[in-house]
Amino acid sequence: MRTILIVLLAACPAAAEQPAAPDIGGVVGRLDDLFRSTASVGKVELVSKTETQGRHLKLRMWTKGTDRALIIIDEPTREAGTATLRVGNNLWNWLPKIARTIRVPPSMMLASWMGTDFTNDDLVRESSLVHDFTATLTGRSSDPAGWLLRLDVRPGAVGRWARIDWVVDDAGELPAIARYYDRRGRLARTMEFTDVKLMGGRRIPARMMLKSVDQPGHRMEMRFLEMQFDAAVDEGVFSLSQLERAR
Amino acid sequence: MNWLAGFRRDAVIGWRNLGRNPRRTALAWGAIAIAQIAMVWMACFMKGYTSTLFDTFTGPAVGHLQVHAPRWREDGDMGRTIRDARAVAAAIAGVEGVALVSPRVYGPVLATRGTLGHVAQVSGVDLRLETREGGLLAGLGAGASLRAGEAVLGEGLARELGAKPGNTIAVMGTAADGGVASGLVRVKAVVRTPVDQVNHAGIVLGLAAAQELFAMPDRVHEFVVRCRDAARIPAVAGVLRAHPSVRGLEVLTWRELAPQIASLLTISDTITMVILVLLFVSTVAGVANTMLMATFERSHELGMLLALGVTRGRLVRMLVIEALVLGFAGALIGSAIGMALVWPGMVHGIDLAAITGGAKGGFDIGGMSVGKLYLIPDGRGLWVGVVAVMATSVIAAILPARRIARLNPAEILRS
Repeated sequence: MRTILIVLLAACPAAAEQPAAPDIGGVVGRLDDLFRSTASVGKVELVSKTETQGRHLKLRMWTKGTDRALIIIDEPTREAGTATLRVGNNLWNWLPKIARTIRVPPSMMLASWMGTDFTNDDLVRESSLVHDFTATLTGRSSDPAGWLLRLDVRPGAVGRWARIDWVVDDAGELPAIARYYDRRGRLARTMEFTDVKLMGGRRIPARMMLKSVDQPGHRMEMRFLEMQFDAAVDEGVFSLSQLERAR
Repeated sequence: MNWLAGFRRDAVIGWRNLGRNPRRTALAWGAIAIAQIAMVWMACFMKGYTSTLFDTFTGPAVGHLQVHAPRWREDGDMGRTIRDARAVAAAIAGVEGVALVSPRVYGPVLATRGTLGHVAQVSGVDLRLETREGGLLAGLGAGASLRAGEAVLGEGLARELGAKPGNTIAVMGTAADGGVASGLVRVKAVVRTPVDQVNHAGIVLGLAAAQELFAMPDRVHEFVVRCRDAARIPAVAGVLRAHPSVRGLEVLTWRELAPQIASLLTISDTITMVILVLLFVSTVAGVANTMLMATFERSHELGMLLALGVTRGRLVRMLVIEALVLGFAGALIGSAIGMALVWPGMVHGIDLAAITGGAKGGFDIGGMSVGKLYLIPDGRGLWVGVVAVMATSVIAAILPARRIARLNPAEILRS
């Protein structure tokens, strides 16, 4: 009997080595705060591909709190200097070619931001996984390996997603993939998090790949080139005058 | 030839009989004429209505046919364009039956005079084609042109932006390659077109200017095609679909583009027929009533004629001819008055917006603005009315006349 038990245990190394389940509240909080800080400065590369268009952007960005951001396009050269300022729920675009600022009206919030798969709404929405969703740890994921979390939208919460399934690493620290389900329960997009690096004093996935399931052929890759978290960012950065001086 | 002489004599008697009771004859003519006026006017109105709907929907916006890159209509992706536009346009124009090929570029933009953006739609069109009669900018007058950097604004958007001719508007959108499209345009004119979308949110540029704005040289989103003969639209569509220069593109007829409008036109035809049938029935009832009264009223007189030796056949013939003359004259009067009433509607049209209390300058149906409805002469109203009136008059006279003719003259005279 003892021999049989030893053989069975030897045959199930995975079961024997399964890590301890993480604290679910802590995991969701860490997902929320992964890229958040009191203020940040960074450089990002965006590669967007649709059936008909290909975009390759290099951006500089400044953020402060959760409601202020300035993004300036450096590349392609044709669009260099084009900038977006967010303050609260307001968005302005600076167009250097015509030297004009245009404020985005509420009715255009779901339109594409600068020809990418991001919408204007993605830039201004202050969504919070902790506040908008209820989380359940549903078990282990084999591909990618890690813990599987199911987040269901709370009744009354505003947003496009009814459910998001996250796979986080064994320690419950970093995301590996997120699967977004729309309000009809259909899988709409997936976001893969890879290339974990130490940036700005944090270990973060430096590369994120967004694939649109509801728009075949659409994919967007976002890569952090440089990041500083909890940086010193002057309040004046988030002003219209600064936007129009964007270079 | 005796029968002809007899017919002529009876016709003269019938005509004179009409004059014996002028009030009754005038009443009968009035009833017949009113029914005929209604028939004529309604038939012309419905023909004008159907024709106006067809012309409006297949006019500036939709055309008889459209050619696009596949799936552009579904998702509006700016990158789904028709390449080598000039060559494709020439190939389409070369197909037999094609009268006009109008290239167009469309792009949603944010437009502003100050800072706050307003949702707008840029349409890049060939001004030479679109300022003609039936074109998107026909209101500008043939030969009107736009210089580089000039635009025409729909009146609704102009109001929203507070823009007038001479003002500069900034626009921002997405180019065909996904990049940022931005530009400044000077407002040349503010217009009201038959297309609601243009009125509410339209910025119309010259084709080349729109192609430059959206980075799509020699590319367009759409060709609007008009055929010489509307009846040949399906045939032309078939030829285009098989054409080597158009292969791989989507070719759709107006019925496929706007099936709800096609259904509306079919329903309009059916409604016309129902209205004509109802008018026919009311005409029949009115005329029959008048003729029955006229015949029974003269029973005593008819009995006298029988007593004097007039044959029963001749009596019936006299009454029938009298009824025919009455009906024909009434229908003629009604037709003349009906056409006289149709005439102003043919020349000046009917302002539907004024009648229905709709928006100034147009009555909106399915996103199109119908300014005026022009009546079109329709022979159906005329001949259906005349035939209905005359047939009814004869039937209404023949039945009581035959009944009287079969009676004993002495009994009739006693009664």
